[in-house]
Amino acid sequence: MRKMIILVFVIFSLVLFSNGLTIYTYDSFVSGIGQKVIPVFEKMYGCKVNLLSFGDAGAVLSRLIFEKQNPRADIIIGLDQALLKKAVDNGLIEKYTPININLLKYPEFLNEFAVPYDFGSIALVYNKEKVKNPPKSFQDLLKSEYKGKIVVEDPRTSSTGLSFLLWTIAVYKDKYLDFWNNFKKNILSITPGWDEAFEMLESGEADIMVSYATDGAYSYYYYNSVKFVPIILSEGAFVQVEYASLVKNSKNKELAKRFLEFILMEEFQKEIPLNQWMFPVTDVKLPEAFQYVPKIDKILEIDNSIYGKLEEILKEWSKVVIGG
Amino acid sequence: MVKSSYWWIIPVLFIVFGVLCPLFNLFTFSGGFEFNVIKENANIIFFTIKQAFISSFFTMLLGLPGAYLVARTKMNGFLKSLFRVLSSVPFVLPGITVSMGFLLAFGKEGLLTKLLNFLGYKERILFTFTAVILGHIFYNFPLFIRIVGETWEKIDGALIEASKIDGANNFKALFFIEFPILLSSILKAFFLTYVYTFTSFSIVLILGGIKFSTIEVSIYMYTRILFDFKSAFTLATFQMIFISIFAYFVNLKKESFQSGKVKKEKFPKWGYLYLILIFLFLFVPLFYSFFSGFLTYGGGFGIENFRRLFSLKLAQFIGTDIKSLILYSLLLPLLSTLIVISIASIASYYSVKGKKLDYLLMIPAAVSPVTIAFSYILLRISPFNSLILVYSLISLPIVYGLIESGWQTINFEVEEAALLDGANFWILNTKIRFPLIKYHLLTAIVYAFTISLGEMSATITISEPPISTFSIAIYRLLSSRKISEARALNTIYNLIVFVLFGLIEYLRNKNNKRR
Repeated sequence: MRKMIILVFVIFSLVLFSNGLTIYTYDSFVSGIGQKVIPVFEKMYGCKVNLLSFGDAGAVLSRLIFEKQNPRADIIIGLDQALLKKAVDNGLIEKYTPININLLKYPEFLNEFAVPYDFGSIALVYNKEKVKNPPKSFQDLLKSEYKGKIVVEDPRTSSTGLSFLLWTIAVYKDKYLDFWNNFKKNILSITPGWDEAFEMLESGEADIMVSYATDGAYSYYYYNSVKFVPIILSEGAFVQVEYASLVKNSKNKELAKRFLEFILMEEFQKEIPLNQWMFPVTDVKLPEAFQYVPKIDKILEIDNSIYGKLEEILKEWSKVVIGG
Repeated sequence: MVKSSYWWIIPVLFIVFGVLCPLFNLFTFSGGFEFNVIKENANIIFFTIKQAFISSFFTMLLGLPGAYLVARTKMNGFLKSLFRVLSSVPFVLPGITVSMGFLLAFGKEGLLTKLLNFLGYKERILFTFTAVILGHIFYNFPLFIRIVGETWEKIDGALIEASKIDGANNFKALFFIEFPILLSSILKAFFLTYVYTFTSFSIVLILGGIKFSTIEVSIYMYTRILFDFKSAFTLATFQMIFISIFAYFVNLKKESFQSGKVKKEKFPKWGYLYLILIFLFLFVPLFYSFFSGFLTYGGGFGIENFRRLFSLKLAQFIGTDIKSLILYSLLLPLLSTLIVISIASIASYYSVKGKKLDYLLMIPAAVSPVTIAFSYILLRISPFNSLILVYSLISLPIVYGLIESGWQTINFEVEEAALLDGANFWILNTKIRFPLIKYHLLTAIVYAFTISLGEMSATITISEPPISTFSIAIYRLLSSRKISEARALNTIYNLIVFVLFGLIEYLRNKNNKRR
């Protein structure tokens, strides 16, 4: 009888083991860095990793909410500060601090629910052939010489747009709507996503867009030229930190925890710059292309409670900017 | 009469179990109604209703003359084919491709801007309400050419002749004889345009600049940024009910149709002016979007993007190998085409015979594909089945509209005669009914196939390895900032669409000549 029980147990754990680890993440993780780091982890632990994506990080979080009663994922990768707050509020993820957390170079990114794996700054990117006198600060952005030249992403539909709105809140605090009220005359168009804004910059329709600080490094690396130059405005940088978390009621908790530790190891972190086009969170060497990333002198913080008030903020924003 | 007259139950069940039940489940999951949301979004709702109406009105205004030229005049054969193919294509192109074409055509350096400047018009068209309307006309124009045009071609010329003998001039014949017969096709095309512009998203945002927003944008915000599903589904339900009620009322009783060989008039002089205008304002943006694959990084022109695309390890982006990509890109659209054609044929047949079904069959057009996708995820329907269902649903309204306008052109006396002659159900369908509407059917098949192939948002939400399709590859390239490669792939997709529509045109011309 006892032998039977042991046998059943062994078979059971084999089944469990062969199930492997299921990770939910956004698309560019799967087609980018995932290709590099997942095989390394699989080899390390002799397991199978099932890396799935369903669109951008917001789409993945929605999926997790829908599967809350019976989660399939063990880990979710790709939550930024705003999404992380949502995930915690919805009770989707579990606290876990990896044993190698001391590798983290930036203690300000610590969060008991999640492990940060990269970060990057939102920036304005301008076409250097057309803008001879680029803006240096938020105040500059209001100048009439940029009238109808700037394109921003809609914060109601784009995470880049939302980050930019949060940046203005970090700078202007509760006066941010005054800024937008003055700024809107300079906006050429508000696009649903990053792609369309980039199309407009590239086709010469717009001269300045909201994008990322690593854009220059990216275009140097792939196209050997930097036509679109990123700037971090002098008031300070707003950084988007990306986190990975343990999904509540995960079926493969131990292996999931090993993965969260793996995230901070060199094998993972060294792949960040040229795949994610973000900065690693531990001490790894940066590639040459990253000399085209503007220096971050000061990181602006916003109060965590802001993330809980997004609905109100977006409503106020659309009242001022869209007028409805 | 027709024996097995309970077949209409099939499309009804399809909508009830394919859309309504899953949505109801989703609705209860997300917590029911949130009435405040309607009030808070009142401005946006009002704007959505208004812009859709204006857009559909202008689309009709531009579409009807086109339908007339194609159906009732002796238009040059090549010109006609070209016009028909080009006007069919925009409808199945992704929003971003279309807006890209418009940006380039009406942009600072665009051909149309230069032309307008030359003619003395200096105002900018981009980022105004006019741009939104133009974008919508561009998209939905084919609905009128196809739905109204194909029906018009079947109006019996003798009818018009007879009216002329009775003293009617061309104008009178048009208004008092032809329009009443065409009215239900016109209404169908108008209504479909209304639904598609009502749920418009990227055209309004990209081309309209900063002033405009639709209900669909708010729904997106509630689901993807705020995760407030209750508010999102309240708006989605509102949208659905609004459209259904509208559909219920615009569904006219059909005039009795006399089918025959249409009378062809001489190609009118205004026709040339019309064609020039259409080619300029609608087809120039189309050419731009088609050729955007050749625009290289930084603004050059060449095949660089294609070189980059083919040197990529594409497997990395599609999560599977090329073989399964091709397999699923063909298999899923084919299966869904089969389903949607069957469902729509049955439904529209009964609709023409007087059964009110429109308000049910239009529902899928009022729900965004992603919402349907999530409702399937909640029910844990497998990705393969979900995708087939979603594809069939999203193409259902237009396929239904096309086939219905086909059924309308049939004299049902033929059926009764055949039945008297002892034709069975099988012979009735294969020898009598379907051959009579083969062009409508062929067009519907190509639309169903290309709409499925190009669907992006639900496909991304649902599919996982080994399932991967063409549109996933485009999305993945875009999301990894491989813009150049995505453009190249998009141009290839456009090419496939052109070839398919060209093929229908070829088949049609070949058949006509044989006759």
